[in-house]
Amino acid sequence: MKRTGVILFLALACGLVLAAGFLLVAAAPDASGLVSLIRIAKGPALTAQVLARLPIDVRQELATCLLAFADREDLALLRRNRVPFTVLERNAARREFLVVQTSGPGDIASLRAAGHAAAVEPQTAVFWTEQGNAAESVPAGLPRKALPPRSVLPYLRTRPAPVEAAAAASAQDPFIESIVSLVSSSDLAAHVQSLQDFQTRYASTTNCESAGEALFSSCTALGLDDVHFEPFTFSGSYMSRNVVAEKTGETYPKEVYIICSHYDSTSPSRLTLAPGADDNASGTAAVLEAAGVLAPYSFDFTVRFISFSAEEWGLWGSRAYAAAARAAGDHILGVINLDMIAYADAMPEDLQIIVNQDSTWLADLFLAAGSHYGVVGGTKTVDPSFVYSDHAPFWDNGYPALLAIEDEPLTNPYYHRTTDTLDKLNLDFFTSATRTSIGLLAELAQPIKTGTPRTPVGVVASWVVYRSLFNALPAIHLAWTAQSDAAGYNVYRAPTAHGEFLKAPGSPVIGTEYTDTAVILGTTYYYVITAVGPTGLESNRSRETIPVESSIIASSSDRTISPLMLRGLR
Amino acid sequence: MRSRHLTAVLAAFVLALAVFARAQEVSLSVGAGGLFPSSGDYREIYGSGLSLGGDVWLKLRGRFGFAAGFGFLSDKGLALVTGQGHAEYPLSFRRTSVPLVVFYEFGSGPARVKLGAGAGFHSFKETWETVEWLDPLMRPSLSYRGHEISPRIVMTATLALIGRISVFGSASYDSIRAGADSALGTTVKIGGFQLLGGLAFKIF
Repeated sequence: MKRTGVILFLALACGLVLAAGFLLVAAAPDASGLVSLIRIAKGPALTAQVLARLPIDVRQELATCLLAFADREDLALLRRNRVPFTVLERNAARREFLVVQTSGPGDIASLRAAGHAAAVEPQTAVFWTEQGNAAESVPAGLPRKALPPRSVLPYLRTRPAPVEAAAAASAQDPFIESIVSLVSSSDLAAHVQSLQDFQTRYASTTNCESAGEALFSSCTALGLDDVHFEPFTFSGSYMSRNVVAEKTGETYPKEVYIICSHYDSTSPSRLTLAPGADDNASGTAAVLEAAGVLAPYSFDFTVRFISFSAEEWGLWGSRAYAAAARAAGDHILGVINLDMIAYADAMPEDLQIIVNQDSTWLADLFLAAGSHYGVVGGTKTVDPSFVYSDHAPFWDNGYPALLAIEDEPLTNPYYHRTTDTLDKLNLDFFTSATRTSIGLLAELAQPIKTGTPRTPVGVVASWVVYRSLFNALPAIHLAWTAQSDAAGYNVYRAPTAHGEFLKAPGSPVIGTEYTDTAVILGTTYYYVITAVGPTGLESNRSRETIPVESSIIASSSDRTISPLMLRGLR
Repeated sequence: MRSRHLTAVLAAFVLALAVFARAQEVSLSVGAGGLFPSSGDYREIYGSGLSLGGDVWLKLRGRFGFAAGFGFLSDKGLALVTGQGHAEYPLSFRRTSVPLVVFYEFGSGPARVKLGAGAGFHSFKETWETVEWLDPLMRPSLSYRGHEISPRIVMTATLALIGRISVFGSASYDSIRAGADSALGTTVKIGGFQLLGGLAFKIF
């Protein structure tokens, strides 16, 4: 009896131990390395339809692939959909991964000496360490960027199909020309000199903090609508501050265009001497000059002048800013990031404009502005793999952004050296690049000119269907708020965002409504409205408006119509 | 053109019946009235329209007979709008019908009632009056033209007034499926109840 009791007790104990073990294993999926970092090759298998239905945690888009976190189910899903992928690291949970620009096998070897590295593209590697401190372990001098904390898949999914048409080339605007003519070479040089005079602006130093305060003071003196610091922590325990100045838009105050740069610097002697004249006092001086030149004018859209810090540590300042902007739901319409715009290795020097697929229109406009206001040439490069400056966090958060840089790959022999000083810069090229940037920014933000009617607001576009017994006429109904100084309104339509807007038949319209019947359901149209004054002067354009098909709902006969229900009209 | 031919053929057919079937009585009626459409969309767009009609009634031996005629319906309306639109697109609808029915007549003295059933031959056209320019390469015209045959039932009451002249009232129902779908994919119905009132003249 006693023996039986002991056996029962032992059996019960064994059962409890087994159950507890099972529960522990089940509750800790990461412990067995279930979350992997994978490389998904872009290609025919990775269509928009596949992307739309795969719930994969994509963290980085590169030119030829996507980097994603995936658990076992995700991997099985990819296999089922015949999407080719490569596992880079099986135990990816709670690890920090950096995308690092490499220029050859030597860089890969140095990365592997410092931790783990996997080449994912000819000039791109992913780097991580067992200890999880990748940012601190990555070899100095290699451009790097951390994977964003959230999936970028929503932005890839909503990306419109690529269009061949370039953004409409704007005409030179004499008013904007008069603004950019205020850009002064001597001012730019003085801004660079003052930043260089801090000896170093390495983000962890007090000199960098002082440089930030000087930028803050300079912006405050310009009489802008708002100037403030935005502090952030970086690389664990360091603190730094972005300097954010704003010229609030009068017509669309919540719609924002940004011109930005980073004001921190680095060099082999970064704690004591990192003058960073080209990288990136040049961009910062241009942003400061933009603030000074544009401050006296009023604009339809809000303009922010931002100087980021800790870019050289891995884009910390811009990462913090862009993530906060997305979390706050900020409507950032476009970002111009200036990073190294003053060194000329040859004359005439031109600018490299680097964009992702969503930002090509911005590059087209920049190049047009270059011919109008610079005058400086440029080359557009659509390269989502170039993520080593402050435009990249905006891409990560679904905002259009461009990087303007003197050369890519870089040719400045003083780059990240103690010899990167003002005397190495080409002021003519620097001034042209700055004028172009400010010209584009002014075009986007739309200066309000005296004597012209106010820019129309409250533009609403919706699909409408007019039905007879046998047929239907799809149309787009536009309505807007009346402006007291307008005698009429012009309606413009374009087939693509930022495309070539053509005046719609019947313009100018006397009232505040317009019905466009020359449309096909399933096609996207973009509209802008201008007000026309009694003397014929035309206002700036309203912001682009897209009608939404889903707005075709309950009809007067209590029926719901969706475009798909309408036969023969697509 | 086609409907005129059809009308001529039917008229010849009725005359031939009158001759060869040895009609006992031939009368002619003309009237005006309204259509009360069975389709909700029709009612919303056009409301109750004005219709005109005329028939030749051939009474054969006994109480049975044939009737053939001509009907015309004309309506104007506005396109229905779904969404926030405020534009107005005028529409017009015309229907020409040639009914042919067999009837049974009963009654006493000056009052007679005819109950009939048969078919209607309809030709119709809906027109978007201000939108005819649409790019034909992109989309067809929004106007629509069609022909359809449908069943018809009719009841007519006549009351003799003076000599050969009597007044009449008639109610008819045409179940006309237009043979085409609406933009929503539903079958278009252009029939309904039609009430006519007018005068009838007894030829012999």
